[in-house]
Amino acid sequence: MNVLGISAMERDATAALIRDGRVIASAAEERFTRQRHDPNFPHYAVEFCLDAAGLKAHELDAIVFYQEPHVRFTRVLSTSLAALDPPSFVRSMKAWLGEKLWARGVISRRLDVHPDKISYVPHHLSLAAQAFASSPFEEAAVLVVGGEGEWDCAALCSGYRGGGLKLDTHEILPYPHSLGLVLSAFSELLGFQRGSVRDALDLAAYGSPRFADEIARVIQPQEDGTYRIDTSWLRMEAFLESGGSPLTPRFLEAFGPIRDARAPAVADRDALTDGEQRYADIAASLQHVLEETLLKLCRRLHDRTGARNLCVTGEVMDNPRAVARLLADSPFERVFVPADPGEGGAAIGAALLRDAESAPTTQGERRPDPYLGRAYDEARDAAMIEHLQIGSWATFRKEGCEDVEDAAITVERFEDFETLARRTAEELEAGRIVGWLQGRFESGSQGLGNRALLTDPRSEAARSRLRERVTTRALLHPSALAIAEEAAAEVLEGEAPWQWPLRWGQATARVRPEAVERVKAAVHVDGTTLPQVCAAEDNPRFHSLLTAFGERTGLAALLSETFSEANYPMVSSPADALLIFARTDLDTLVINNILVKKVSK
Amino acid sequence: MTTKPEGTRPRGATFSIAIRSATEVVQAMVGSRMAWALPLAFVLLLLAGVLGVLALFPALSPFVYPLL
Amino acid sequence: MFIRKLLIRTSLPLLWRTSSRRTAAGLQRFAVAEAESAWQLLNVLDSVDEPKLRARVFQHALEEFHHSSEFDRVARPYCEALPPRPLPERDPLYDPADGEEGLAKFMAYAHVGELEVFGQFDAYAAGIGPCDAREVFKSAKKDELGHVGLTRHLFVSMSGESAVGMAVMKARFQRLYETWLRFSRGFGEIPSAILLGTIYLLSAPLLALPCRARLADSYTHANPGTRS
Repeated sequence: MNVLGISAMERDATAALIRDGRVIASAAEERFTRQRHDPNFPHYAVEFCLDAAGLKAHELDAIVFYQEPHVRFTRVLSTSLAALDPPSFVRSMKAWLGEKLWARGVISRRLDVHPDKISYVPHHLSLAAQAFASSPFEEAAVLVVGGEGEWDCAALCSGYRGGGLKLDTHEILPYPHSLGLVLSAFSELLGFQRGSVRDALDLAAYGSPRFADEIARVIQPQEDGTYRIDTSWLRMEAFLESGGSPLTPRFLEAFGPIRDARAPAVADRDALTDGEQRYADIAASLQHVLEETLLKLCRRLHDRTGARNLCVTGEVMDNPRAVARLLADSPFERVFVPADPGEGGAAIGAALLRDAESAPTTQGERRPDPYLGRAYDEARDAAMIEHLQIGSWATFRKEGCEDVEDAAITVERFEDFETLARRTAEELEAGRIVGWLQGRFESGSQGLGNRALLTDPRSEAARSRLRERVTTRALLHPSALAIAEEAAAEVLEGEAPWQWPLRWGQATARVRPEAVERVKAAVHVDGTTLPQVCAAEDNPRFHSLLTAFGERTGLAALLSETFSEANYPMVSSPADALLIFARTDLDTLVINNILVKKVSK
Repeated sequence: MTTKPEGTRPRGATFSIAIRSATEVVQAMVGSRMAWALPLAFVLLLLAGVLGVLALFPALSPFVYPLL
Repeated sequence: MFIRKLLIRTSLPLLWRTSSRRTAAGLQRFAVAEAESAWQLLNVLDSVDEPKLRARVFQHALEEFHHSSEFDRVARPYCEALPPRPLPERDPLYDPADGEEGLAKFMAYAHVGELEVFGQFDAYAAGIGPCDAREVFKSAKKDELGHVGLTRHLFVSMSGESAVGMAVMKARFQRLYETWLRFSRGFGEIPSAILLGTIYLLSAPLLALPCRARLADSYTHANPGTRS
């Protein structure tokens, strides 16, 4: 059975194709359109998925949309009427009556498919299915904590395999009790875009939770382990169709003013002004309250299910400190977070759920796989590179980047991948920044060894140059440490077997004090890092590179960041990577089996 | 007349899809215990329908683009 | 074109210079437009095999991408928090199924687009006044001159000099129609807003309280224990 899952119209439009319980392909539309969080109908993502499966749209057995728009509409309508805010009502109704309510019709028209093939899956089940089905567990408790679905903002579920994929919903925490929306509001206070909660909470490492009691007046813990949001602090209608700021005067009086995002972000704890310290403390307080809330939910879910394993998903779970806390302090033995815990991942879940209804398959414990995107052949781009004039890039480079007028580009082709790995390791040891593009791109926002920017983890200078002259991301945001599985115990506190969040940069981990010097550039101010523990069976090429680097330096580990510039999606194609190579101080670019380098003439 | 391949959108599906979607909205309003808002929902659906029909005529469609 | 330039030169000092948020939003829209141009070129790149042509298209895309990045950079200082970035749906101007004829048509369209932008950037540079953004407009204008020449050259190499006039005319009409659609879309916002506003004014007084009650009571409406 071939099932296409689609998420769209809100945020992170994504398509996923499932065949007989297996994910054949999945990609976010942003990878093809180069617009971060692109919510528009995922035309290109669908095209890719169909090509990957060798199908035409009308040959699909089913198409599933990741939520029930008619149900969500009831919530939007009630919110916009309750607010007594005419512009909010007008804006919402324009969007919903225009397109959002007619998802079936839109999909049918865009793909030219029979409408009877199209069905809807409740939002929380789409997310829960994705989290559980992509986990290695036979059964698990499933916690969904996101922004908002139809009426659900969080859900406590259980998942079972054996004769198919089954999910039980135990409890839904409904709108307006949305942790995701509260986090968005605080993100705006902290000077970040509402969708950049993870970035905003990176400030938490620089502060202490002295505002926890105040924040607990917004996110109110309940005795039964759940929580309530006191919505009098926020303008909830502002979350409908980008309707202005959600921050009320009461909120601003307690926590404000809004941090000026134009001020350069300081990465040195000792250099923070009183004002900046206050914002860091608010972030730390928010993080603390969030972690306590999530732990209580986990305990409630554990009491309900008695499960040993936990899958967590939803945009709120894109929070490495919180996941680390769950790993350490939740009553569950094992924790899994899907590669894309946000709205995009729901496309996969919706399709898996629909597939399981019709053709139950029994699956043994499987190894999760985040590499679901498109792969590219490098031959055409290698031929193109021969004709590029690096001198003509001079005036089109980022501010502060090196002059390239007297530079040249070299291209080396490798028949043998191990030789390429050793050559790349040589570049990294020399302090160069390497862009690494291999195979299929990752699901989710993290580069996990197929779309990565790499530097020597011992070199803080290389990391600074990477941030300032390539990604333009502030130093306050932590970097990931990609490390071969065999070497992980030398550096990270804890031991094998490493749980999946530590393989995918989804949880922080403390670095052993004796190892800090060896990976200092990847160690954050609080002594933690974001590990990406790489096993050979998960990503043989990346593992080879790590091993080759380890042979040179004594430690098979690299500082790794997602291959993207700030505010742009992860690169997809070699051309996307070449654009960054041309515009920035990225020294070396490896695309499959070729190595491209800037050299002085 | 050339028949479309099986599995494709049948001709004239727009109206049936619209009716189906509108029915789903009504059911959702009742299911969400908001039956008291049904009159408003009918008005909004009617508005969407009228503007959707107008959009089928290209000469008038620029004026209804915001609701398409 | 003259009327448009005049409108820009006269309205910009009133609209942009009196509101930094409006200036930021305006510059952000330029960033989005330039990013769109870059994407259209990357879309073409995906379908072209000849390495030299690919290299030229890539260079063009790089320059447009740079302009986008520059407009983003100069928009930043104008307000504490930039408005949400518009995310228009990508509508490819070139379809690989159209082959070289389609590519030539794309080049003609791009040529006309670059000509228009070349003219407008002057007006914006004059209207915005002395600032970093003015330098970006001026610098981008110089690059667009090169793009005008490149797109014409590429079109001629595909279709010949004699086809230029007709292709440019068709592209101009297409762009004029698109401008009409954009205007109409904006104009069409008004009647739909009035209708919805009227519906709201009639219904909200009756329904606001029941809606608030529904939201306040949402917890008791949650359904535990549902099997999928």
